[in-house]
Amino acid sequence: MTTTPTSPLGEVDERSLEAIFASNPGDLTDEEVGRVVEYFEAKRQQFLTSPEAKTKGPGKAKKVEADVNLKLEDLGL
Amino acid sequence: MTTANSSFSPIIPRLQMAWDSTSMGTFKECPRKYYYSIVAGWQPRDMSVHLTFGLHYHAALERYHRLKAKGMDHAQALRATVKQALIDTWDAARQRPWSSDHKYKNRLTLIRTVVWYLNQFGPNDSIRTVIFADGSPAVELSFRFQTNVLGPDAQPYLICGHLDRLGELGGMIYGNDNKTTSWSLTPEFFEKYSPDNQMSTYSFAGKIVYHEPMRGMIVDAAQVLVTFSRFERGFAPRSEAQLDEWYEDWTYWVKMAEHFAIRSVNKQGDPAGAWPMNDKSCSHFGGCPFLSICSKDPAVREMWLKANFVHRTWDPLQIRGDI
Repeated sequence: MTTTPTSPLGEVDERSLEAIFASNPGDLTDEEVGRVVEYFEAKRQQFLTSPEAKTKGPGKAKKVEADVNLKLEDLGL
Repeated sequence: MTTANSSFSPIIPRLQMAWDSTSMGTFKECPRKYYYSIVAGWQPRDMSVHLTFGLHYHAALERYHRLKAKGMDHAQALRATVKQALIDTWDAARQRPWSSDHKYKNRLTLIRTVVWYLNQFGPNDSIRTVIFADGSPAVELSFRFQTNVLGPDAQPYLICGHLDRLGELGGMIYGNDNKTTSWSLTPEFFEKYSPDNQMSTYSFAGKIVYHEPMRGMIVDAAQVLVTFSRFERGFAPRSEAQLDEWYEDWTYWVKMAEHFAIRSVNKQGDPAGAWPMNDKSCSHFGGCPFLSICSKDPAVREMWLKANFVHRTWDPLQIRGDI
């Protein structure tokens, strides 16, 4: 049986997300909006399976954030 | 300035007649802070990002609930909500996105927080939005009602504001309020809402305006950070006796504010001086933004305000600000 590899980030990579975010949203197609939603849903699934998702330590969140290994900020947005 | 603000008395300068939870909450913190931010309308230049983020967040969730109430399924409603949120955060005049250099509160984290919140609570929300008799969903409810407390000109004081949602859970009616924070969502985070002026105002309003036997508030808190958002739901229950107690206290506080407003008439050269400082609050709530003003000599405070703050009219009868 063969399986088709799928991106953990759905149908949109971070580069195309950046382009969507930078374009006039009035011109976005339903498909493009759907890709934004799918991107963030995939990111959520990725987060929920990370150890950090279970962390709720007291105090300012900075400590928690330092342990998270997601790189959304790489988008430069 | 106060004459242009419909929440203030047209007769007595600086006397607020319509009180939302933000105005009263600020007054309870510190009368001088209340004077600067609500009466005089000064706002730190760098503070608006929190308000902007909160307004967009609330607007997006309201839109989703309205679309769902119209019969749209979750996926459709979510996409429509995200598209509108992208449009709302687009600066059409400059043809560029809303620009925020705040690392937690920007356009990207806004959209992410909306999607993640609705993923968690949208399709399987244990809270069911109340639907009014006319078929409209009980979301983004603006309220105002007269109290039995009269001002010096015999006009009644009003309580006003905006409630995110009325919902039913386990056969009981609750108000539902959304909060965003960068703090961890521990039990201590939710404990601060009981007692709490804003949650008591909403619970009281629900009882008075909507004739619903509200049991209190449910707070949906979103912790928004650079790389993720997460959510916790907490309760801020209110009994009938607690609400009566809160209202009795409210009448006391509003009369105190009236006293300071009248006192300011005789302090035309320095109206701020009519509202005393509560110097035990300066470091609370993340630090008062007016600390840099109150620490100066009274003669130069106005100059520093003009240099570092901007004007905005806080009129709770016109705008939503209690996010």
